[in-house]
Amino acid sequence: MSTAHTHRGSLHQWSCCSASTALLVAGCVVATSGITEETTNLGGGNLFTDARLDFTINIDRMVFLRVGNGSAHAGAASGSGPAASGSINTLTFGLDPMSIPGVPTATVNGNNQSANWNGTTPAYATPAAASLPVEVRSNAGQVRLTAQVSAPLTNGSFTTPMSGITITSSSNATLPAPVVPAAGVSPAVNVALGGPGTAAAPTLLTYRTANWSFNYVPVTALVAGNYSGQITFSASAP
Amino acid sequence: MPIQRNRRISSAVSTRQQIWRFACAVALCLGTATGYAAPFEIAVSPSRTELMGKAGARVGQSIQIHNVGGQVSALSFRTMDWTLSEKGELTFHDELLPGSCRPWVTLERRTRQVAARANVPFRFQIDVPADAPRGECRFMIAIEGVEPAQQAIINSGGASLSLPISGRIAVTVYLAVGGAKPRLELLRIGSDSVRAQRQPVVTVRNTGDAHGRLDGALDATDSTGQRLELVPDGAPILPGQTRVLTLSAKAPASGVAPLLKFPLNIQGTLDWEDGAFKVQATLP
Repeated sequence: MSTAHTHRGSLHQWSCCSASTALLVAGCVVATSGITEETTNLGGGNLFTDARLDFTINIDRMVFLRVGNGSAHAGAASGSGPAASGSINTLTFGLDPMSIPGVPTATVNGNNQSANWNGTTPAYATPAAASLPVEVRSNAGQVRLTAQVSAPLTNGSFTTPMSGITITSSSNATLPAPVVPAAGVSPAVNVALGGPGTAAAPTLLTYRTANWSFNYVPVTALVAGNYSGQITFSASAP
Repeated sequence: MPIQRNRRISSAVSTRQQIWRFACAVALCLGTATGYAAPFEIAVSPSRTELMGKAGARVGQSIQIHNVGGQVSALSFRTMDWTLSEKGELTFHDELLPGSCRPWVTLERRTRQVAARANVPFRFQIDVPADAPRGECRFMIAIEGVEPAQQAIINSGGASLSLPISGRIAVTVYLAVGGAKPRLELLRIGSDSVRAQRQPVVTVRNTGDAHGRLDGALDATDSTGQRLELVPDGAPILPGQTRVLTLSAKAPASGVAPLLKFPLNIQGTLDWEDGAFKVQATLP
């Protein structure tokens, strides 16, 4: 005759909130409320005993936003290892030297360089677009993006509206860029649900990447000086 | 002017921590002086929090912040009000909106450094006033890069333009006070043009005093006999709103979004927080 003893107790809570790539879409995985069971079977003959382990897995909702050249992801849905990036996070718009109206004549560096000028205001050429990489991942349904501008581009007492900056997305259908407002917060744009590896829950999962191209159309009568301002891009899944 | 009672919850700070913070502050200043920019690579979990509380009580919660990038990230924290229209247009407000509950909120701190590939908790608490009426308190916690994620610089012969770009994640917090609950009514199931494609939709009204969401899935068969699942948009329906929500189609086995061929025969159950809608319809 054998006797069996059973003891059930609490399992320590464990969490795996790693920042690893593979878990980004899965979010923060936490096991809670686990119950351990300890059983003993004593006696002669063939002895066997079973122990059961009950546990639950809670996958939290998460949202991830990358703005700039990141070092986190190689971009593979499988979560293959991080790709180091030595990119410098600086966008530079190269404005061509302003031309002198009349001919037009490009300005020349140096002293005492003459140019024919008909007296109208010189104009700047439109600079080449600058690129900003952006990535959004979430398991919380619709993610929305907004752009916020705290003030116009300011140079002392001179300003030029921030709305002179326009953004185009390399993937406008899936990760559109919000319109840069003259001031305040822009209307939100929706990041399209889905993306690589999201078929299991198409109304919840998002994995989108794009390059946003910033374009600046110079104002003809821009007073010389350094104009500064700031744009903040917000991601939320209300 | 927004009122925030942000204060430090933890009080014991060791000398070593103070030295570390000083070093970080110096590094931060140097970075700013030289136009330093660090990519914003932050994940936040949970991305929204739904809590319950009662008048005169305190509710505490923490969210987990992951710095997924390879560089230390300095983050700032503050609260914001937000609105969501019936068309799904989301708007943030730095200013206090009428009836805002942000004055009830205490954040753990205003700024924090998060090491590369680290995750840290961030706590906040809501002190519900004793005379708070039944209803839903809604706000967002904005988690923002202190340093710009990208510096855009435009140079020319006479004018230059400096355009730092920052990233931010806004975590939505819902607090149902005094037993506030949604009360959803399914008004219509039909089809609308969504992004130039015909899609099945449901129209839902919320006559309760807290937000609600749809969940579950419907079974459908299209004109070719193809079997589908229709999953409702899980967007919030705020109290007093009537929203038209898309039903997204997916193939049950592969999960791939199929091309819909009307008419659709639909049946099944859509769930919400306090009930469910039985649906049986044919969309011609």
